[in-house]
Amino acid sequence: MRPDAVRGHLDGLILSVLEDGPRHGYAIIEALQARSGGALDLPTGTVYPALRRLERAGRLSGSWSTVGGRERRTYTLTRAGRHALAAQRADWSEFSSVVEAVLRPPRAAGETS
Amino acid sequence: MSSALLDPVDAHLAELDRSLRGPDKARRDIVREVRDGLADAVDAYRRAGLDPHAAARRAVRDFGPVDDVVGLYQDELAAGQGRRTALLLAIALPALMLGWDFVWRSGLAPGPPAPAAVKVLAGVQDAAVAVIAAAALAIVALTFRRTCSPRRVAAAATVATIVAVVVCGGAAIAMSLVNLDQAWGRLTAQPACMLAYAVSIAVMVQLNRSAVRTLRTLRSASETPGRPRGGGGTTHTG
Repeated sequence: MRPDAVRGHLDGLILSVLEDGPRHGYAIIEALQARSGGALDLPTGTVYPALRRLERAGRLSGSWSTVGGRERRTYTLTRAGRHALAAQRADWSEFSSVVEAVLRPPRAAGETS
Repeated sequence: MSSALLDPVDAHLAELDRSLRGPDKARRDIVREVRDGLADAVDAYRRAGLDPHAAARRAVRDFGPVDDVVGLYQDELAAGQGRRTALLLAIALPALMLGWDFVWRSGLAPGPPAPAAVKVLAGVQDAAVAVIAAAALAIVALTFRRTCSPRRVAAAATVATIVAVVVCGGAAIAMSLVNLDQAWGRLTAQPACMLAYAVSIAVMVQLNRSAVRTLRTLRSASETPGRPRGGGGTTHTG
């Protein structure tokens, strides 16, 4: 999948993989790849500034902690982040159903009767 | 040493470190996080069977060019520093006004009534503090909006600080000049006034320093070559 196509949805995707618990940067990247079955092939470098942006907006809280014997910056979804994720899911569901309805090839005349 | 001879990860980190402009602590924190992330990626590729150099090259390739992320990070550095400056403004300026108010009302600085010009200047200063503090709070609130333009917010914080220093500092100096004998007497003989003057100067110096720091993140943000193509700070919303 082209990175350009993902860029507008990256924040929502990140919030989504943090829903089941805190993760550090690389674990978030691995989770994005795993959940997309490897189709989400965006430059990993763009994920780290997105984490900072979401933290500034209060949707994530980030702190340094020791994970697996190494110091890592770990991110947790905040209450505002959960609300934003729910809103984003609703928006996406509506948007995708509208686009799907328009993009679907019209059925041949014979099929409708 | 040429960067080609360095480990690819170290060379990438050095380039990122060189490209970012902002407070040292914030920059170090960013580079440290990227270093950890790249180390994790190298470990993963080594576990998959790659040799250390090939693993490092793959990790760097996956990360993407430094130019592509510098603009995004610079936006965050500008927004963070802008928020700190606006917060300082919103807290320190009203606190300073209340402090001086306390000095006058408590009788710690006795003297004859102030001339009319001083009263007018004090009124201007009080009004300016109220407006600037409200604007600073609005700027702080804006930095929490994910879709705000970080550079505009940082610029607004810088302008508000300059206005505060010029108007409030200027009014304070004018008040002292209008009433020079009394001001000098208070400064040299009344400990409460000495302390109030010292704190006022310290606050003004700190506000100036914070504004200059914000301006630096701002200037480098606009000079950074790696802005997302064809868009500003608000294009990467999700």
